[in-house]
Amino acid sequence: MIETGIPKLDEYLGGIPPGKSLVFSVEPGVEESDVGIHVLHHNLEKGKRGIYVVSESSPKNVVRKFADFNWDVKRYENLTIVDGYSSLVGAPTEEKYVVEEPHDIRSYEDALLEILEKNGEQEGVIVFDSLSNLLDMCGEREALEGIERINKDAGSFGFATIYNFIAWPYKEALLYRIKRTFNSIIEINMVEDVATRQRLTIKKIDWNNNEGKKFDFKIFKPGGIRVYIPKISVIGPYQSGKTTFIKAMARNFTPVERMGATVGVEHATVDYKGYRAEIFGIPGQERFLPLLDKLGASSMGVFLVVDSTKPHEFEYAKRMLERFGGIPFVVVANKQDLPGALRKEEVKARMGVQGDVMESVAITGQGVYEAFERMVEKIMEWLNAR
Amino acid sequence: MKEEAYRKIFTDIESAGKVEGGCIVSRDGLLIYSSMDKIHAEAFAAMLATLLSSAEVAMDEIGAGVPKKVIVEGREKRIMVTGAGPHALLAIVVENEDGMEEVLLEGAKKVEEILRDRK
Ligand SMILES: Nc1nc2c(ncn2[C@@H]2O[C@H](COP(=O)(O)OP(=O)(O)OP(=O)(O)O)[C@@H](O)[C@H]2O)c(=O)[nH]1
Ligand SMILES: [Mg+2]
Repeated sequence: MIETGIPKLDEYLGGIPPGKSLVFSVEPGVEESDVGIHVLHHNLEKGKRGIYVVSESSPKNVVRKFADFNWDVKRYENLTIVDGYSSLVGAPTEEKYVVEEPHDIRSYEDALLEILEKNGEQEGVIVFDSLSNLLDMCGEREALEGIERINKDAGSFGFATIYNFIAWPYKEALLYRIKRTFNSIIEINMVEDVATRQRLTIKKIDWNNNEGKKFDFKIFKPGGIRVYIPKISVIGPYQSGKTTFIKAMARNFTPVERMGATVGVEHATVDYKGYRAEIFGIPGQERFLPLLDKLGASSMGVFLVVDSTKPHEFEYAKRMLERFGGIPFVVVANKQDLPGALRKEEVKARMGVQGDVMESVAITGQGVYEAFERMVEKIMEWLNAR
Repeated sequence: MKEEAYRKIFTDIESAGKVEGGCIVSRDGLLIYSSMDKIHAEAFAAMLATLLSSAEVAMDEIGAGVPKKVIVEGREKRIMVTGAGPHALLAIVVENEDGMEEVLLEGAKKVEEILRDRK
């Protein structure tokens, strides 16, 4: 199986079987090469063979594109570049594999076959940057027919093929033909309301049932692609351990504290297993409730942190939670280390909530990431149910 | 592209005085656009929203209506924050606020228009 290295997407794809072809259909405005570069880098790192077919810009740019992510392309002996650009503009090239006739898809086939045959049987990935360019240069029908042959050849050598496609307003008929030609189509759109990010939707997949699955991500340079959650709020009664809980999982914590109590909204960024989330901690004292209404809005999830030794606060805690409506939440039964701490079942029963209760000891970090993982799972389910 | 429009707003603001940059932020603290680099913009955005909403709650408490702007004054720099329609706020970081109020409020109007257009 071949992976994309894009968190969550690999889970939905269940890996790409060799011989399958996948199109990243990218809305104009999103840097189309980034996704392909990410996939390529992931496979090179894993020791698989990577073939990068460039026709949108010169092979020299490949170095820069990798460098934008802080990756050094020179390190990878398992990378082969196919230059489909230089002869297009009549420029000299130092590449070993050159597409002599960039207007003829067969010229691409020839170059690729030569590499594949030399390479022998070794799993890998061929990334085309870009499909749009091949269609424009080689003619739509001819290009797609050639691509079908390329995909087949690639498959017999253990490769999957990945195509960057810039979704200009092409004709319906062509889009339909593209959809038929490839095994999977993945659409990438901009989400431009707040917290600029991209949305990835699996439009077609012919080897499992995950068609329609989607999530938001952001491309970080350096860092690469991360599933992105712009806002998770942390609420709970006074001194229940919210700040400690946030600190335990975050980098870049911005505290807002006076004498041990939080007096404003604190912010933190969490990076964990391919996810990035922005965390908003909201002070617990009742007099700050107006802030909770204003600043809690548009959260995608809520952690309700309670002190498990203080059941008399649960009622108030539950009321805080209810201000958020039906969004995903996880109740964190904190301070499990203290004598008399109620276990999660007990907390759940006493509070009378339907949903997840997780135990934690925020001061040692115990249970904190488990709660985070549960949270992102719930947010993903929720996003996909909408 | 909205990016372009936002960038233009800040080019205008920045040409009007000693302005370091600024941010457009949703009222609930999510970053919409930042013209400043070298800062942790997401955290800055959350704090700006806290400033404005705290000011709103405080003003409302004394029946003083909606605050026109919030100014935080430091030794060398100031932060000026104002509402930009129901969904967003505009903040700028300036060296000196003389004459900048007009620029800020003007910018906020433009932000409000852009955000209204997309609805
Ligand atoms: N024993 C124990 N103490 C904890 C735990 N988590 C937090 N505390 C302590 O509880 C106190 C309050 O923790 P904070 O994280 O400041 O609580 P908070 O909910 O942010 O408080 P406010 O923001 O003021 O409402 C501190 O003294 C922490 O050290 C825990 O798991 N076990
Ligand atoms: Mg706190």
